[in-house]
Amino acid sequence: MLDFEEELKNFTPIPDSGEAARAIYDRDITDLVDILKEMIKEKA
Amino acid sequence: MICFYCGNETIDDQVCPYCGKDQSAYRMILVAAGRYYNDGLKKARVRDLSGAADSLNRCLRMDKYYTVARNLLGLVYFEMGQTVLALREWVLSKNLQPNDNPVDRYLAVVQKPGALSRLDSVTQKYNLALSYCRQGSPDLARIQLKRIISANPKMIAAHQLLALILIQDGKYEEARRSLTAAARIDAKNPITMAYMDAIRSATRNSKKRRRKKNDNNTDISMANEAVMPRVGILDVIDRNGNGIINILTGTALGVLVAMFLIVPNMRENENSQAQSALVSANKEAANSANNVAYLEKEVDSLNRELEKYTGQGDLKTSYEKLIEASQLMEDGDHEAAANAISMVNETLLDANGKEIFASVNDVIKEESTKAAYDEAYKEFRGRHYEESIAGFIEVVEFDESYNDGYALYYLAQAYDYTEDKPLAAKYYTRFAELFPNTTRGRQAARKAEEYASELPAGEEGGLNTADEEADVTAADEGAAQ
Repeated sequence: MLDFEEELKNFTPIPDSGEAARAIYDRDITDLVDILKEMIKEKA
Repeated sequence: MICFYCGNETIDDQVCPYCGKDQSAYRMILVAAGRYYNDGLKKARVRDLSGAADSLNRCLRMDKYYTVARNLLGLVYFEMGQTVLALREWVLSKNLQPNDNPVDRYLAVVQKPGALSRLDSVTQKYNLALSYCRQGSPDLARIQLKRIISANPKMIAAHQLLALILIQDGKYEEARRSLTAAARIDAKNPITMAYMDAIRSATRNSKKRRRKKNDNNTDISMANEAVMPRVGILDVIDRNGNGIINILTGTALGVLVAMFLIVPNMRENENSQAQSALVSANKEAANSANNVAYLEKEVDSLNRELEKYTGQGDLKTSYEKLIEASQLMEDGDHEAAANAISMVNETLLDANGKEIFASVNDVIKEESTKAAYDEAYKEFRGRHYEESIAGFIEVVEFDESYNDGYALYYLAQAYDYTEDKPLAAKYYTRFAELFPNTTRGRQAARKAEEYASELPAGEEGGLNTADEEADVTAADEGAAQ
């Protein structure tokens, strides 16, 4: 059976449009290509 | 493909023809990103939005410049009701690829006037519902979530939260409906599937418990049947040959008991009730007779009272009769005057009326007394002494000294001649008292003394025959007077 309280923790408030800017800036867009570049740069 | 090192356009070679460097790692990354994108697209097409978002995120982890994947990810988020996340992806996509980016179309939709505020309103309501849940007010949260769903049916999180509340309340069917609606948007959402499983499990357990309970009931009834088999009355009778005999015996006994115990008792009660009713009726009759006698007495009494007033009438009648009596007196009709005056109620008259009444009444009395005296004297002269007594008594009662006491004297003589010496002595005595200095007074005194000496104490004597003549002579003198 489900534990209501535990399940409730899985639900998080949805950000509204006022928080969109922070959401965009907080978004980590580092990809594997960036990491690869970094690794190559370090090797060089 | 662009060379990772020199940036020149290359054909899918392991080594860049311009710079000569190995691009296999970079090439593997791009291939993986492409595979994830395809996987995400495939999942999005079958409405596995969670899976699509996961694949697309993996794709973008490989290559952040995979604009198509980012745009699709934004679209998936938007479909799931995650507006801000969709906006984030679309804005990043626009920044990473400002030109020739199809994301402009999506952004144009979101940036329409009022669109964002409407989406924000739904978001805020959802957050409020979530806070209600956390504060322990699931009922308020449920109401709020239903409003959200009616305004934005694609908000999966609202469906899921509502389902969670309903499951908590044991309303599995409603929760299933809410989850089914969520599954239509995101077919393989892990939360939705987990809740569906929970509902199935709970329902299955409930059915098992119900079935077990029914089985137990069946077992109990079967056990009861084993211990106490249902046997009808006919079975008992048929099984035992004596049954019919017992029933007949019982019926006969019942009839006998009724005849010898119940029926006599009932009759006795009926007789007792009849006697009581008779006594009661007799008492009522006696009371009625008493009442009748009492009422008859009352009627007689009232009749007597009425007789006193009959003819006297009221004030007007009394005066009329008084005047009539006065006129009759003047006319010399004393008898009619006496009748008229007898109908006058003296108590109703005023002083003048009473005076007239007294004068008229006196005259009438005098006249009637005179008439009575004349009549009595006529009888006395005819030696009818007994007949004369009543007239003389009437006169004496009106006036003892009437006609110089002759009425009283003749009354005494009438009693004397009828041998009633006590009354004769009484009236002689009275005459002697009233007229002591007259001849007749002395004679009366002598006779009274004579009768008193001859008779026992308290009795008086009478006159002799010799004296009778002398008394009649004296009477003639009195009458002449």
